[in-house]
Amino acid sequence: MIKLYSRIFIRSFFLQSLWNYERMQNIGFVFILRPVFDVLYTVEKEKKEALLRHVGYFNTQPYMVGIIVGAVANMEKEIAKMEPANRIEIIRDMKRIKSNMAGPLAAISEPFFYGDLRTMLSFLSMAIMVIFATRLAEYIILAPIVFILLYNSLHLWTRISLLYEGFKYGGNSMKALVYFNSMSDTIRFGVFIMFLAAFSLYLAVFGFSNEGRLFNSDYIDLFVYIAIFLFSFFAASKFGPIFSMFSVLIICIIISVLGI
Amino acid sequence: MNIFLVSFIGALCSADITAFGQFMIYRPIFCAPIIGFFSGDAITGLCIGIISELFWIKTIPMGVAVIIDVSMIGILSTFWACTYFPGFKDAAILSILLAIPFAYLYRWIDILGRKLNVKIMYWVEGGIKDVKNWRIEIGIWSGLFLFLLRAFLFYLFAIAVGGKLLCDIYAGLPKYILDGLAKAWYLFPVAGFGVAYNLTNIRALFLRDSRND
Repeated sequence: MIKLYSRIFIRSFFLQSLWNYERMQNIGFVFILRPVFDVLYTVEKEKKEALLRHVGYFNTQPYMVGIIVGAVANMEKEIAKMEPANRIEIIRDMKRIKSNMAGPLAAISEPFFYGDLRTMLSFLSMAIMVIFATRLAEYIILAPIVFILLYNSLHLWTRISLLYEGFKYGGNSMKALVYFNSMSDTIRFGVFIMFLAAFSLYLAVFGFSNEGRLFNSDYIDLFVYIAIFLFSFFAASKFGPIFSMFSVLIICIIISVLGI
Repeated sequence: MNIFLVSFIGALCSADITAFGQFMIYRPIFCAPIIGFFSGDAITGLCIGIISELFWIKTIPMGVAVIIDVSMIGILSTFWACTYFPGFKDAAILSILLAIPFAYLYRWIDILGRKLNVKIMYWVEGGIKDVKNWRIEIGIWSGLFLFLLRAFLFYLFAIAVGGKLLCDIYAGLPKYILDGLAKAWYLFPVAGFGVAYNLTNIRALFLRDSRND
């Protein structure tokens, strides 16, 4: 059984390898489930029907696929035990559970992982980089490695635990997701703290250093930094980050032309 | 650093966005310092990584969105800056600006590649109907291989063409523009923090708290 779980777990990384515009992750989902079908169905015709049941549209957040795979595999196990004539209702239920889980799972996990957790760890990594840049430059490579290790320890733990939950609780495994909701506020507060740490460290180390000084006065430098921060803040919401970037570049060129 | 090795690392990072794993190795905060470190200028890689990460902090593959390849901005600009103009802050900023159109061009190629995946998907589905289940594995592997191949070839093209462009443009720029680029080296991260503060969920935390009060 451990061997089967391991195969499914490894295959789950390939969910989007054949991502396509018509049915998104359908072949990836079938690819993950194939070892289950190899165990459950010995008759080739039944295996073919089982595989074809899952080639329809499917799309969710990749880290969450384990819980759906577990739930579907449990139901397929029930289906395999039944006579073909009695399977219609449970197949309908399985398809409904699969599609009903995919959307909400993506809606919960994408803001949590991609929005909050990654952002918090990015700011943490930036803060570490800025500290290392001045004192321990030879170890600076550790900062991005810290980012990857911390992020993926939670990412991989999520994949493993949700696969386990899916196999254990089947369709009732959605309870496990309360965890993400309860954690999101804490992580969001962590994003704010890390943002402040990274920004203040950057200004302290680079912004007011002898090399990074734009003007000869700390006050003028501070005024320029605040003005640029506020300008980018408002310009990003109205026109997007690239507009902000090129606007700041033009401001810098104007400062140079004027010889300030 | 060898151009083929950089292209290979770049292709792995590009595949991480969608095709395999989502380990976040495609984020500029990771890939730019790594390329900088192996090119002998980790600090330039670090600064390019911070700038790119901050400006494109919200560029994430949510839902069915095909995003621009942010790893391409980090990797190309770090490689160009460290290879052709090591230690030149103005050239590093210019290399970031030059990498942006390449990332957008690759997004267009990526969309075409994903359209090709529809054909492979139908081929796999036909295989299942004909009890040729091995097509599932072939389909997945070919999808991943094509992701890697197109990114690898594009990196080779971008590194060569972009490097030449960077040198030509840099040589032709007047001094006041170069001074402006050097100032942007210090102001871009500040602007990036402003962008990041706006685009991340930090504001939502306070907005919701004030509503609760």
